[in-house]
Amino acid sequence: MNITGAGVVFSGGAGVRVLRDALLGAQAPASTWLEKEGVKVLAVPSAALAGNPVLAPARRADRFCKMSLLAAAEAWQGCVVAPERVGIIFATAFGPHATVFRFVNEILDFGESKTSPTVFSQSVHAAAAAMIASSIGVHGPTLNVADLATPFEDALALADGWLESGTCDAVLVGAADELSDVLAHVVRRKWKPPVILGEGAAFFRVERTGGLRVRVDAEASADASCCLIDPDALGGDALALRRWLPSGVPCRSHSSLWGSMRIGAAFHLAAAVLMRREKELFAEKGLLAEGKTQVVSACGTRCRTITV
Amino acid sequence: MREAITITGLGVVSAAGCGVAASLGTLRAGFRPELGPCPVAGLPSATPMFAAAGVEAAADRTFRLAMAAVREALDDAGLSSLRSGFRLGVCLGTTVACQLNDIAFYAEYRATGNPSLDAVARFASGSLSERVARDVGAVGPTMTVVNACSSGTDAMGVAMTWLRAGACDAVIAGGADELSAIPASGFFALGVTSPEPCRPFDRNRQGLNLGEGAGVVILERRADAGRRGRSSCLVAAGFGAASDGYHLTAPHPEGLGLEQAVRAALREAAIPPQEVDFVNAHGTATKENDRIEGNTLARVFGPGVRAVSTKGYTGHTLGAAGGIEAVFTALALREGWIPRSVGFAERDEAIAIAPLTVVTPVSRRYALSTSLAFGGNNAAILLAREGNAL
Repeated sequence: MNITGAGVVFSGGAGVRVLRDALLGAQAPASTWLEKEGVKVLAVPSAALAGNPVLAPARRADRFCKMSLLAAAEAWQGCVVAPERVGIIFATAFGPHATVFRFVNEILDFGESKTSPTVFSQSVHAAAAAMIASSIGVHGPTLNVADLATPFEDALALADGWLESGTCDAVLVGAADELSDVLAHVVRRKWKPPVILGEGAAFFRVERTGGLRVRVDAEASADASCCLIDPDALGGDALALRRWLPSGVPCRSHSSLWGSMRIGAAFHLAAAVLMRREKELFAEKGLLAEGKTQVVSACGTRCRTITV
Repeated sequence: MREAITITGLGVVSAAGCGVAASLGTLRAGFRPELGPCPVAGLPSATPMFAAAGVEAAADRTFRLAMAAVREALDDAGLSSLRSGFRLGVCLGTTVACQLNDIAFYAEYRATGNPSLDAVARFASGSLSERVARDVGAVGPTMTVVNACSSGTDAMGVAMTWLRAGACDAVIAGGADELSAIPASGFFALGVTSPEPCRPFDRNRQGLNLGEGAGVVILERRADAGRRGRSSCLVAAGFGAASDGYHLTAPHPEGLGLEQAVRAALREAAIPPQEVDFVNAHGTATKENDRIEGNTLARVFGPGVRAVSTKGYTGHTLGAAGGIEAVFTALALREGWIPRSVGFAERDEAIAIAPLTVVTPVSRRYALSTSLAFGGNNAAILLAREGNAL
């Protein structure tokens, strides 16, 4: 399959241009504090989610939904495939959990029979993808995936399956996760040394032709020129990652730009796409070598590599 | 012609019974299971809910429900012990088990700022499919589908894609969900629950009742099943999914996404609508779902289409519904009779179809199971019976 469009929202702001600048060192995202838990995080700046006309249909939606819509809409730009032939695969580890806890607040404060239907409808995992489908007007299959190991990587592999089987002619595939006090609390107590939590969304438009060729495999290849890895991925498996990485291939991580997330591979893929699009510039900065770039993730006995 | 995908194992647990045999008994008898008191504290006690019998009540109930169905299906398929190198995938749908949504944990967090992390540890031990894969020793792909009420059906669609792509040798596919105060409160807030036992497609229907359970099929390429000495008369012949792209909580008024999904499933199986014997409809008993779904099915299959909703036996089991209803559809094809639609009494003139009210013999090879979901997701799986004449 080929990547024909990309969109990101991360701690540096919204858009692949912002990510490009961050990768080039022109603009480093600033960390903030989640005061209640006293935890340093890389949060998506509120300004990135305000005033953008793309978000008009989602003006009453939660943060999770807005981040997702913004990234997906950017990846969607320029697509000429018929709406009923475009699918969506949305991956997450934790889903819109801040909204889930808002809803639980309502249960605790007002009782089970006096909760808000609006908050409930936004707390459902399928809400963000539904908003994307209705906002950009696509009618192919929409699939939501929630796993802790390699949710984005498996979603991308499935998108390839949809294209190969003729189910769709284009798939918007991406991942999103958000910060919350509860998540920060859990991380503070469970993860030592502490990780810097992040949040954001990264989406890709994949088609059979055009753009950059990309492939998902179950093992790393020794012929790559560089592996992009996320050794601090929240709850990730650094031991498994070390076991699966091919020897002799240099490894690099850019996760300090977006923070620790189970869906970090989606952001590394966005980085790899940007580097391939502007080979000379990134090579000059020492960020890209000739040959294939691999995004490598591992969890237990499972390994996923995305090769660009 | 695409490679045939056979169903070599079935497993199910719901209020209609724990296991295939018990479920068949309930469906054949055609009566609702007895409903106990509402098991979710805080909601009006008159709100009926369909609790599943035969599975231990525990903090990780969805996983336990799933495993009850998974073990039955693996036994049925002769896969209780896996040979080395056998690539068994797991793709299950759920709604409740995909969120760190433990109310007691959160209440303690709010009150003390230092809650027990037991609920977190359970959540962090893996998604539903990841846990099931670990429990049964499956080494193929895993994926947990969280497409709200169509999750179970969508999970079977993913499994079919994996098998056709050669990603694995067999797949545990379906869905599981437990009764929980969070969706119960949410559906109550949306005003779609019924104070009486649900009446799918009935003129006087008042809404849905929540239920719980799990429904699982084992899917394999026919040639692979044959190589390990298994044969089955049941086939997953086609799958289709489509998004309304219309509204977060309301289905498209003309059922356009559902029609697109149904036609995609028929196209994949390369059959015309006339070859479908019956439809196991989503049929939640809400005003909108039943009107829109019924009229869409009439548009595709004609107003005489034979349809049933099994929600009257199970309640609406959310992420499990697609799996449970696919198992019921497969059983109807295998046994040669369609259960009656319990709860239906009076035809609604606004709906172009009426469900079956008596147990009815199957006369053609194909049957469809449909799912409509929150967010405008629609999914349809077409099953077939092969072999002996019906």
